[in-house]
Amino acid sequence: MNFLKNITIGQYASGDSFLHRMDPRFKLVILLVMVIQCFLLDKWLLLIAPFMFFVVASFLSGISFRFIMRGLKPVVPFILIAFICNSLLTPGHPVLMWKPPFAFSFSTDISGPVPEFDFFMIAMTAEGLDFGFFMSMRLIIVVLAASLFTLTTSPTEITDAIESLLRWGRPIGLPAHEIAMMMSIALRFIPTLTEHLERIVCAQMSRGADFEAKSIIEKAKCFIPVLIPLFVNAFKTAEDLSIAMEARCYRGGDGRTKLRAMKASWRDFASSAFVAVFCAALNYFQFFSRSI
Amino acid sequence: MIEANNVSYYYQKDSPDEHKAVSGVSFKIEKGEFVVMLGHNGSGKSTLSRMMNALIAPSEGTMLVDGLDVSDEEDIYEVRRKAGMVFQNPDSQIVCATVEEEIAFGPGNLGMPRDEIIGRIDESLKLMNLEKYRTASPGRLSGGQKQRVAIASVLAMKPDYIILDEPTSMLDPIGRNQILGTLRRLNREEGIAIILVTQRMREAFEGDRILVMKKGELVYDGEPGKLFADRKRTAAYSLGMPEIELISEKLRKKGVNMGGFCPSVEEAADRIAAIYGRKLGKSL
Repeated sequence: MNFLKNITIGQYASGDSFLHRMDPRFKLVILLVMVIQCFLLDKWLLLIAPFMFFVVASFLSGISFRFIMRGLKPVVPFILIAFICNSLLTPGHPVLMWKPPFAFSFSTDISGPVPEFDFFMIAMTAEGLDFGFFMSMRLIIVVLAASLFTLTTSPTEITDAIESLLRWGRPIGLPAHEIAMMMSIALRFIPTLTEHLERIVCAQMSRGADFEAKSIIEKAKCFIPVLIPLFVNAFKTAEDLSIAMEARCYRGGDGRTKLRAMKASWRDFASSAFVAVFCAALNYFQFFSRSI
Repeated sequence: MIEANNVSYYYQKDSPDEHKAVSGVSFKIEKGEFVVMLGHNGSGKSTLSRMMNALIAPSEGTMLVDGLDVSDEEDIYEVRRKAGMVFQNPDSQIVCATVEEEIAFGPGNLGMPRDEIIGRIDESLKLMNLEKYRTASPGRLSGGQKQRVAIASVLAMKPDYIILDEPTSMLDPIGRNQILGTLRRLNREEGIAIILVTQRMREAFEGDRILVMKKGELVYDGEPGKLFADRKRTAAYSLGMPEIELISEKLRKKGVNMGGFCPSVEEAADRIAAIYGRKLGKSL
């Protein structure tokens, strides 16, 4: 039994590249800015630019491009669904169409400029294709960006960065240290819980439980007797862990020192400057293309 | 010195489910000692060990660690630093994602400056022979290695005492021997007092002193050899015999002159060699 084996999103590949050496806070902010920027763009042609941005960035990560693209595999079905649904359901000029013989239609004139939506007619429209492309590009870019970030930033660095960025919210009562501590413990316990899960599944299979059920509902039912012991186990582990933390003088974030200090370098300032110029240019083109 | 004066502990005090886990226990443990605390499940040994680390305060009596009272809120962090604690399950006591961060967790909580933390990591890794695994993820280590990481992270706080609550019970024989060897070395070379809480008879002879707990009471405090030589007492405390003594017992019954209680494999070998040597007319 191997759960979570093929997922590279959220995995960390240690290294010493440009991206690895960047300050995690800068990486996180750049990631957020770029993703927001992608959502502000409304033409898929314009999305090619941020896509190329992340392709170049992945060369700066020192990780093989094929390995990174493998991380996209689990998202492929979503991308396909998004593409197909959008291309079929967007009204517009049909490119490909198929009308079942039994169907009747309210508008018979299909050569007209924009035919009315026909319930029985299955048509791929130009607008739909355009929009489908656009949505899939967006998804691909977001997944690529996120996996690049997690591949080059260790979980501890991510939580440190989040803690440090959330510190701005402390005056309004945001528990920055607590949130970061919870996240890092959650990440640390993923392998432990996976191991528990596998053990429980094996124990139940050895007693005749069937996890190869056909329907989704049956499959979900199979997992109830697995999840209950898993949760009980998790609560017990959490209890033990909190005692072990207390035994080593843990008393919250105040006055705690960290092993690693985050330090911004020329890499971070240079990339931030580049991203700023890049986004400004993109927004300019977007505005420009709209006005014509 | 860890000093327990007439210590008692109740779970769910003043409720219908009240349960006395420890009753009227007194002992003193000096710096540099190696003490084994032996007892069956529910004998109160874990409760007592948690008191020495100020995780719980005694319901009655006082527990002092180098003169600091574990019931005193102001002193508990100093007590926890002085008397480090290692637990049974390696998986639920490791907090961080890499070995070095795990070791830095304790000193970080004490607010130590970064350079000093790095020095402590180097030192602890060296003492535990874990240099190779500095940046490894604890999840990929074996049980014995994980327990060594747990000990290393306690060592980083420079404790005078280390209390280990059944540290070997989830390990395989190799891991168990690694841990026991490490503890002996820490005790001998670093002068750290070890308090090993266990249910295994074989571990009873690790230390020079043994505390036996039964139903919340301290029933024996002294040398392990003397205790196990007294069959009536071990039966009264329902303690088993170490394997080597069981073998000696069988040999005695078959007429081999094994002498009295046999505490260790080396001792047994010496005695058998002496008998053989006499027969062959030379010393082996």
